[in-house]
Amino acid sequence: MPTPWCPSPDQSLQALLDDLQDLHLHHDRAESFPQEAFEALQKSGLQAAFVPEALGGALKDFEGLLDVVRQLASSDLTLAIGYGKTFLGAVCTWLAGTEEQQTQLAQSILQGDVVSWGLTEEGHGSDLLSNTLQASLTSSGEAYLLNGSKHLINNATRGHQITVLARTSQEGGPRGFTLLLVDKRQLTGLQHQPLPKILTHGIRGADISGVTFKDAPVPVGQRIADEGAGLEVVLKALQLTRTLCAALSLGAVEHAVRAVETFASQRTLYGQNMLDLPMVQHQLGTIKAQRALLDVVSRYAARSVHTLPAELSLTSSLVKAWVPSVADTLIELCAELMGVRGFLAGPFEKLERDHHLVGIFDGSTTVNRQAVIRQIPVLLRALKRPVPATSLEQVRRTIQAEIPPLDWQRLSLLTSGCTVLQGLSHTLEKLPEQWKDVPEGESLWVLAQQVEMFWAEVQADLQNHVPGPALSSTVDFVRVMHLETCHAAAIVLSHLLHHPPRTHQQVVGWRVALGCLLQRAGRGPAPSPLDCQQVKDPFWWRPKEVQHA
Amino acid sequence: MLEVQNIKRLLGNAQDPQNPLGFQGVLQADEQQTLSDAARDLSGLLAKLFVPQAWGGQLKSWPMLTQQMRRVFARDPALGLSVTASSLIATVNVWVAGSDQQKSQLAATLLQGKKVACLYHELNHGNDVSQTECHADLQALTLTGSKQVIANLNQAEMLLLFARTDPQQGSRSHTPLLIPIHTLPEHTLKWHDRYFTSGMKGILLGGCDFDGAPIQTEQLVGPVGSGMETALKSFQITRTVLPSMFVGVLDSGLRITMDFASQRQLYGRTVLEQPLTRSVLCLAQLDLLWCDLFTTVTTRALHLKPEQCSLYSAATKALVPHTLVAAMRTLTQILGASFYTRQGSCGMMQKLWRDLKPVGFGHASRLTCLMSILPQLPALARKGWQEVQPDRAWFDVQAPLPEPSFDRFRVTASGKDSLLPLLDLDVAFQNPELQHLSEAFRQQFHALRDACKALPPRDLGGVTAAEPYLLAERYCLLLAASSCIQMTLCNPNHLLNETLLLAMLQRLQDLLQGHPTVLSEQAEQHLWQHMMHAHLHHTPFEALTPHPLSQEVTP
Repeated sequence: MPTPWCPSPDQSLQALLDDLQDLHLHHDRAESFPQEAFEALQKSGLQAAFVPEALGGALKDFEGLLDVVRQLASSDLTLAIGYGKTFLGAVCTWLAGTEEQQTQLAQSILQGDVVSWGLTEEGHGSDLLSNTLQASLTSSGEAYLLNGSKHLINNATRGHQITVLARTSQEGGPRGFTLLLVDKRQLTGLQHQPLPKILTHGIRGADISGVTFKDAPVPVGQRIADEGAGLEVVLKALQLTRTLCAALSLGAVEHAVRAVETFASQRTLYGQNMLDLPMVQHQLGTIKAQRALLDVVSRYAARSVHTLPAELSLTSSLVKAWVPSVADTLIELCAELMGVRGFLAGPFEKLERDHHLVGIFDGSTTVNRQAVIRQIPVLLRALKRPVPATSLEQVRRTIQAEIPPLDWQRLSLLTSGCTVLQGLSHTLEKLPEQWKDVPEGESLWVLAQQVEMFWAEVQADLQNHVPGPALSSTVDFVRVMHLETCHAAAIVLSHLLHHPPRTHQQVVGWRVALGCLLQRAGRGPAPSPLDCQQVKDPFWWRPKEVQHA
Repeated sequence: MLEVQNIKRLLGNAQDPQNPLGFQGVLQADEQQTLSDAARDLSGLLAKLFVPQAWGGQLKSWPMLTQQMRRVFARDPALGLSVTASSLIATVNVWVAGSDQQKSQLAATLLQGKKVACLYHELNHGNDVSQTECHADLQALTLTGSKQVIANLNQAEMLLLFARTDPQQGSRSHTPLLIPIHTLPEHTLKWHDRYFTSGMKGILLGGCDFDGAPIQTEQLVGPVGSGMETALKSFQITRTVLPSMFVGVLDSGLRITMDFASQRQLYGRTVLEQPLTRSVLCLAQLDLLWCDLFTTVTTRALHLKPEQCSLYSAATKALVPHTLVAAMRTLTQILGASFYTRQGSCGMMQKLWRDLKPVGFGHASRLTCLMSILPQLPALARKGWQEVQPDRAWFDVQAPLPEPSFDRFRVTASGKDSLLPLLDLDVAFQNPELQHLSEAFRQQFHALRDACKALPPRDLGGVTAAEPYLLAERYCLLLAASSCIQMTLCNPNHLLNETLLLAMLQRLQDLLQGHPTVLSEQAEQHLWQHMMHAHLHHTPFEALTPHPLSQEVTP
C-alpha cells in the first residue's frame, strides 16, 4: 500500500532493486564493485535521470532526482553512491558547458558513460585552494597538459570521463583554477594511471580511488567555462550536489527503520511483542517523528532549486550540515533497538557504516557550517529588509504548487537571503486562522511560538556577533547549528501553514517532531513520552501528494 | 606481578610497524579477522589478572584490574574483549556460585592460558535470558538446544553454559553448568559457521547445537534453579567493570585525533589550531573524565557496597557506553575523510569506532538495565534515600580496598542506596556558580524522589508506559553527578578541582535535559591544559592514575 512516506515509488525500479538485494553484502565483504546491479540500472536506462530533459534525458525536477537517489539509497547506499556519481561528474557541464559540450556529454551518459568528479587531493581534502594538480597550456594553445593526482575520488578508476579541477595559475587563488572534462579513453596508459583503491570503513564495494596524470593532453575544447572560472562553477555545482546528498540520508533512515520494524515485529521480549514495549515505542516514535522533519526539509530544499535558486548557496549548506547529522543519530537509535542483530554482518550494520560517509563527503558538516558562517553578513543584511510578497509566494509554491522549470543560471555564490526564515513572523501571523479547526491545535501553536522566540534570540545573537574574516570560533559554529534548527523549523511551520494537520495522529506526530527539534537545540523539554509512544506512520504528507488530495 | 607498567611494556610501541601489537599489526590482524599470535599469547598471560588470589591468580582490586585492562582496550579492543569474555564474563558465575572444585578447575584452566567460553546468548531472546531455551534434562543428564554468537567458543577448553532446568516460566527455572569441552562427544554437537560482525573482528564468534549432549550433576553451578539469581549477581561485576575498561578506547581515540590534528594542515594552519577542534576535543575529554570518576565509584562499590551494586552496575551500563560512543562519534568529525579510510595513520580510528559498538548492546542493553532499576525506585524513594554520611573510604582512591568478595551481592538493593542521597548534603564551594548548580542537583534529587514515590505499581514492570524508564535514566545521571562531587571532594588535585566539577555538572545537567553542551572558555582552558600534557607525555587522559605512570614515557 502506498504511504505518504513513499507514495508512488517507481515500481519497476523497486522491483529491479529488490531483485539485486542479495548481492550487496557479498560485494561489501569482497570489496568488489556491485557490477551486476550497476549494469542492471544502466540497462534500465536510469542514467537518464542525471541528464536534463532538454538534452534528451529525464531530469526535469530536482525533487524527482532526489527521489531516485533516495530510492536507490533505501535499497543500498553503496550502489546509490556509486551510481549517482555520474550526476556529480556531469553537473559542472550542465551548469557552465557550451551547448556542444552539453549535447556530447548527454549523449555519452545516455549511452552508458560513467563520469567522475575530481576535486580533492591528498593531504588537503576540502581545502581546494591548496590543490596542486596543474594544467598548463601547450605552446600551440590547442591543449592543456595535466600533471598531478586526484585522491579519494569516487569512480576515479571505473569512470570513462572525469571532470577535473586543475590549477592554471602559479599563484592559485579564487581565479587560479579551471575545469577540464577529461576523456580517459583519449589518453595513453603513460599519461594517466589509476591510483589503487582505498580501503574504506563503509561503502567498501565502491570504487574510491584516484588518478595520476603525467603530461596528459586535454584539448582546449574540453575546458568547461573560462580559464580561472573553475572554482566558481564548482561552488555552484556543490550547491546542487549537497542538496542531493540529503536523499542518501533519507534512503538510509528509511532502510534502517524498515529493518528495525521487521526485526522487532518478529521478536518477543519480556513476554510481549517487541513493538508493544513502551520504551521501544517511545524510541521508534521519536525516530519516525524526526524522519518526517528530514523528509519535509530535504524536499523543500530540492524544490527550492527551482523556486529560490538565488538562496541555494545557503539552503544547500544548511541542509547538508543538518540532514546527515540528524540521520546519523536516528540510525544510531535504530542500532540500539537492533542490538546484536545490528552488529552481525548484514544489511543493517552495512547501512550504518555506509551512511557515516554522507556527513563527510561533498563538503563535510564542518565545511558546510563554515560556508554558512561566511554568508551570515549577507543574511543579516537581507533580514533587515522587508520580505517581498513575491518571495513569500515562492515559499508557498515550493511547498504547495507546481514548480517552475530548472534554471541553472540563477544560482549565486552568495545567498540573497533566506525567505523561509524571513517570512517566519508572517507564517506565525497566519497560523491561528489556518489552524482554527486543527484538533489540539493550541498545543502545536505553543511550539510554533517557541520556534519564533528561538529565532528572535538567534537573530539577535547573530546581529550582535557578526563573524569577521578571522578564524571562526566555536560559538560561531554553535550559532550556525541554531540557524539550521530555525531553518528546519521554519520550513516545517510553513509546511503546516499550507497543509494544516487534520487528525489527532498528525498533530501528535508534529508535536513530537517540533519538540525533538527544539530539544536538540537545548530550547525545550523532551516531548511527552506518551506522545512519542503514539507516533504512527504515516502522519505527514508529501507536497506532491497534498496537491492531489 | 603483572603491573600496569608491565602491560604497557608487553604491548610495546603502538607506532612501531614491526610490533605485532602496534597499531599497524593490530589493523592487519583485524583485516584478516583474527588476533595475531602475539595477541593470543598476551591474552593467555592476562587471564591470571582475573583469577582471585585465593585461587592462585592476581585479582585483588576491581579498580586496578580496570586500569590495567584500559591499556589493553586502548591498544586493541578486540584483544581486550577476547580476554574479558573468557576470563571474566564466563567466570564470575563460578566465583559467585560455584563449588570449590569448580573454582579450582576454572582457575587452573585460566592460569594455563586456556580459554573459557560463556554460553548465555540465544539470538531469539537477546538480553532476555529468562527465555533461554537450551535445556538441561537433569533426569536423563543431557543437554539439548542451541547457543549463538559466542566469543571464543571454538578455542574454549571449558564452557559456562546457562541452561533451562525447568520448563516453567519463572526465576527458578535455570541453572548454569561448567562443562569441560572434552566431556562432550563430537556427535552430540553441531558447530555453527562463524558469525561475522562489523567490529571486534578479531574475536571468533561461534555457535553450537547440543543434541542430547551428556552432562553431570557436578557440573551444575550452584543449586538447581538458582541460575537467574547467579546471573543477576554476576552481571553486577561485569556490567560495572566492562564499561569502565572500554573507557580506554576513548582514551586512544583522543590521542589519535590529537596526533592527526596537530599534523594536518588545512587553510594555512594545523587542525589543532582551529577553535572548533579544540572545543570538540575538550568535550570528549570531559565525557571521558566523568565516566572515569563515575566508574571509579561504581567499581570501588563492588568491594565496599556490594549489596547495592544491582543499582550501580545497571546505572554504569546504562550510562557509560552511550556516552563513550557519542564522544567517539564527535571525534571522528575532526578526522573527516581520514576517519573513513582503513589505511594510514588514522586507520585505527575506524577500528576503534567499530569495536566500541558492542559496549552498548552487548551484555545487557540500556533498556534492560533501566528495566532492572525501575522496580527498585519506589522503595528507594520511600525509605532508601534518607540522610547518609559520606563514606570517605569509598571515594578516596588512596584508601585501601578489601579483597573482592563474591558472596555479598544481592539481586536487589532492598531499598538501600548510599550514593544518591549524598546530593542532599550541604557542601560549601568557593565558586558561586558551582554552589548554585550543586543546589540545582539537590532539587533534581528531590524531584526524582517525589516522582518515584508516586509511581503506580503497575508501571514498575516496564511494560505499561515509557515515562518510568525516563525516571530510571534520570536516576543514573544523578548518581553520576553525586559521584563527581564526592570524587572531587575526596581527591582534589590540579585537574580535579571546582572548575572541572562545574564543567562536569553542567554537562550532566545538559544530558538530563537532552540539551547540547557548550563549554565555557575557562572550562576549555582547564581541560586543554590537561590534554596537552597527557598528549605530550603519553599519559592517560583519565582523571586519576593511581599508579606511577606519569614519569614513564610510553607510546
